[in-house]
Amino acid sequence: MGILEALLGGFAQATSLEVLPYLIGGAAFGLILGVIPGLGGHFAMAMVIPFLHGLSPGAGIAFLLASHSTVAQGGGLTTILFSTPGCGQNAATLLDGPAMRNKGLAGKAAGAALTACFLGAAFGVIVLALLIPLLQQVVLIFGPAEICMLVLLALTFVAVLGKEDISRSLIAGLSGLFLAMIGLENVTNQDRFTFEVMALQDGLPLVPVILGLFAMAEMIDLWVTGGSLSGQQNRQLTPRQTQAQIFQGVGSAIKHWWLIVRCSSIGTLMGLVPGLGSTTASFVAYGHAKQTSRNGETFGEGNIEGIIAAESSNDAVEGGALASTIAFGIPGSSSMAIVLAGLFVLGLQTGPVIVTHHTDLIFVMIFTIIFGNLLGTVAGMFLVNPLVRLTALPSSLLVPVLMVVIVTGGYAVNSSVFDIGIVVLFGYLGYLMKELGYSRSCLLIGFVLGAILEKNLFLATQLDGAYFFLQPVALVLLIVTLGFLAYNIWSLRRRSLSTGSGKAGATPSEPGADFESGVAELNGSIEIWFTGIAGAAFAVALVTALGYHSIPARTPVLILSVLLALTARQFFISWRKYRQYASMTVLSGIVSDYPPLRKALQMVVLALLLMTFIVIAGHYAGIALFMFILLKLISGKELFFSLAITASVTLLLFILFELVFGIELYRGLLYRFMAGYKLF
Amino acid sequence: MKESTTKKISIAILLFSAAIVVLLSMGGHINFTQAAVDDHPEVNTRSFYDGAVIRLIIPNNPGGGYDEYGRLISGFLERYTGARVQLVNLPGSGGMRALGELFKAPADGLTLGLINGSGIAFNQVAETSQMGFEIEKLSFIGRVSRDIRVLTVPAQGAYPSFEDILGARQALKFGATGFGGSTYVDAVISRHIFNLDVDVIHGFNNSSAVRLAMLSGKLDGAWSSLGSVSDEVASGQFSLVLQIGEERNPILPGVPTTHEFNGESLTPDLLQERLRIWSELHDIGRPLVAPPGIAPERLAYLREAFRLAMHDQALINRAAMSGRSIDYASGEEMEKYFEDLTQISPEIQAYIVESIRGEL
Repeated sequence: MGILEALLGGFAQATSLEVLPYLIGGAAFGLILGVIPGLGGHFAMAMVIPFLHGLSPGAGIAFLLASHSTVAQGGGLTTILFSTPGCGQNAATLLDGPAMRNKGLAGKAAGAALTACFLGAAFGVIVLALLIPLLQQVVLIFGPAEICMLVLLALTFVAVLGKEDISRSLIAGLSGLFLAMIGLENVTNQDRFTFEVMALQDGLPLVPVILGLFAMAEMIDLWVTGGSLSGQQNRQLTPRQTQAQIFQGVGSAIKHWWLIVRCSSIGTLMGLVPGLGSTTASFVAYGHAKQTSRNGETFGEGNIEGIIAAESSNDAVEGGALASTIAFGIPGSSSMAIVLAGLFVLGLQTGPVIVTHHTDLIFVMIFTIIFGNLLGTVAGMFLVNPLVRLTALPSSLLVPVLMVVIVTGGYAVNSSVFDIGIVVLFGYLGYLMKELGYSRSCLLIGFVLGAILEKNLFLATQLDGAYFFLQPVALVLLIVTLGFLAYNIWSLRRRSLSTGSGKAGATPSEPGADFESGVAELNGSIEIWFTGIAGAAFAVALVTALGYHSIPARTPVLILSVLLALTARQFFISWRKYRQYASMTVLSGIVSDYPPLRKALQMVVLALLLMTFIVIAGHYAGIALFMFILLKLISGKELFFSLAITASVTLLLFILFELVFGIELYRGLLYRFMAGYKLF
Repeated sequence: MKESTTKKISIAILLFSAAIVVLLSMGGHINFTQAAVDDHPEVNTRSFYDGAVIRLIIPNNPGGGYDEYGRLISGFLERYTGARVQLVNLPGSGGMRALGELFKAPADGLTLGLINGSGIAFNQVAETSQMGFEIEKLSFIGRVSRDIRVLTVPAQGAYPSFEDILGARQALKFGATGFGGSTYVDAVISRHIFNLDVDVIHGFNNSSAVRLAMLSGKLDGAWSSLGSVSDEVASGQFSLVLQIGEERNPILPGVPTTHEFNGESLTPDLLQERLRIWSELHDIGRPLVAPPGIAPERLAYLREAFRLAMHDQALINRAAMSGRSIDYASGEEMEKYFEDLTQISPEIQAYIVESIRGEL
């Protein structure tokens, strides 16, 4: 069948009355799942698969892919409005989304995000459609050598993301690379930095790390600063204002069409390469936007271009990811493996046959993604208004509820209590990094790309020899990377020369310098402890790594050596400047003098309590007790109000997770003991 | 004002008590049945399972292979046991986390699990990374499926048959995923037995990455399970040149078996023994198991229910529709497999250890 014929056939099917209800149902389901942190598009599709039996191919494809395509939109909304990215794909939106919300521009940010998401997704699948005749050749371009070079290119974006403070950003990025080394190394089966903990064998779990680093850290911050998410009370938007802002947002997304095209291209390219995925794509696109924008300096302070870049690229990934799935029937990601399983259930043979004989179904996929995203965008716009009103709620109410939701999502990803610990631990780490000016984005990029780089570097040298980077595509990518790096170093130097200090690039900005006096000293003294403890940990890790065989040892030794040197340097910089305050963080005195620090320490204790409750009494009892303590005992809410919130949130989570999703949340040691389980 | 406060209070009390009721009933459920068992040990097995909840432990996430098998059989297990079957996904550590839960769970016959029997058996023989679990003590209900292991080559490649591979003039490259995994071990054993000049390139992220590398001409072949390549073989991208086993599988009549070729470097006895153990380890497949020591009448009940489920025409049809091969074996047969493993000769054991470590 000809392409045009297939296109029309696909369009007719996707808009037929038989298919449309499934498309709408899937899109609604995905949007709801996107709002819940932790459960991504992967989970949405796994839930849908059992319902595919007996559906026609068109309806089944629409149901399956629509549920996957709207997840990013739901996540984008919660990122902007509640600072809780659902999954990695929305983490980059956190850099500017909440900042716009704080300026009273939540509606505009949401409108732009939803529109960018839709346009990005549409762009991705249009590229896919154009590539159909060349699909196989394009997919095969990216072997281990090319992936290596592409990852290196993506890593150089660390330089752009953190160029205000290159030293701290490098520490963050290298720490991310180091964290990626934790777990079983798959060339020699060496356990690296796992301390014999079985849960660490597979490495640190990505989604809980992201939830902690971004969502949980924001909750701790909100708890410490108090107030509400919408900022000052008088900034509360009326529904009419919100509506007007949404349209402004749509307008500004369309106005930045060229940015969307570029960022969507980045997303599509990243999607083509197995393993890179939407998290990397959104950060690289963000870095690109920052690099090329005339207002690059305002990125991170609520620049709408940052939101548009991140949200347009994360959905464009889908078009690329579908390419290898369709071209060869070989999935590029676990989500795509589920798509294939779904296609099989629908009775479709996958692989080249689908390209030659069922081109119309590829267009059903394409139109499903376009229409699904359009539906998600429109439905999302209706959701903005009620959600915006929730942001006016005081933090004393929002923080307990959102923290519980985040922790529940963190558990549900792998049904692991250990992951709740990861969420909490990385929550503290993320909060500290935010306060001290270490880029969390750089850490995340390093973490996501570290393992991919190491694996593909090994494979590239095995398959293509030591000079693998001299192959045509790899060489082009290498030249681009070097050029990009050189340009950035040059512009950094130029900037430092023009500021006259001659070493602005090397001298870190003062942490929290814009706060009221005394805070800089406090943060400086905390940084002494932070870099001191981190440095000691890196030193221990380095000694441990030196004990491994050469293959598993070489990457971590290299990373840790540089990391240790940079951390030591940072330690001495803070030490020179703030050593007289170093004792400030030793609990005495300051705790009572300075409420934010007291509240931060309070949250450390409370989060530990939450974990202990969950481990002993089970998930529901644990979260209920936690919410009640925060609402009644700490924030002093009315007894009945506290009980009502506690009960209804717990009940809602129970219905959602146990009854709708069929996920059994942790029952607790006490229950397990009574039911006859061996505890350890 | 006062009225609204009263309303608020009553809603609060209502919600809270509802939550308590739900949570208690959820927690209380298994305890009630537990109490019933303790008080009346003679209670009829059928009535014990009627309305009870069976937790079916799955060693990977929703959407993964074991999860699909779990969802496939759970409805039919419900039909033949009378219990409600709830899937519990416990991914991680190559299935060791799920296995750990099976050893911790009470032996009341209400916890079942799907396990990677072959992988565990390989490690059992090699005495590596088993976390101290004594696998043979598990209560075996039966086997859901087993992988048919095949050597795959790109259809357009230079070596379209195993004879071509045997006669290759230059070193070939076989791809594999993790060190010590099945794609790796099969490549190492086949290289050794048939004296092949092959470099095993391992460390690929997953079998998809291996297959893409084969299609781009970087690799000459790779071992895999038939299930994961059957679609691509049907579409003409890959050919199968060898299958592990003594006799040709009825669904692969045109693919020679490992037993049809003679390893030049080995005496016939030793060759036969190695080929046999290699194929037997794969035959263990994916069994359904319960914690060690469940009561004999419950084990018998579960085995019978599982047998009926696996022979239900609706299950067979559904498996075929989902592209999942099923291959029933009884619990007794599974016990026998593991018993055989304990009587393995030290030479063969050393051989398996060397193959997992890539030292052959």
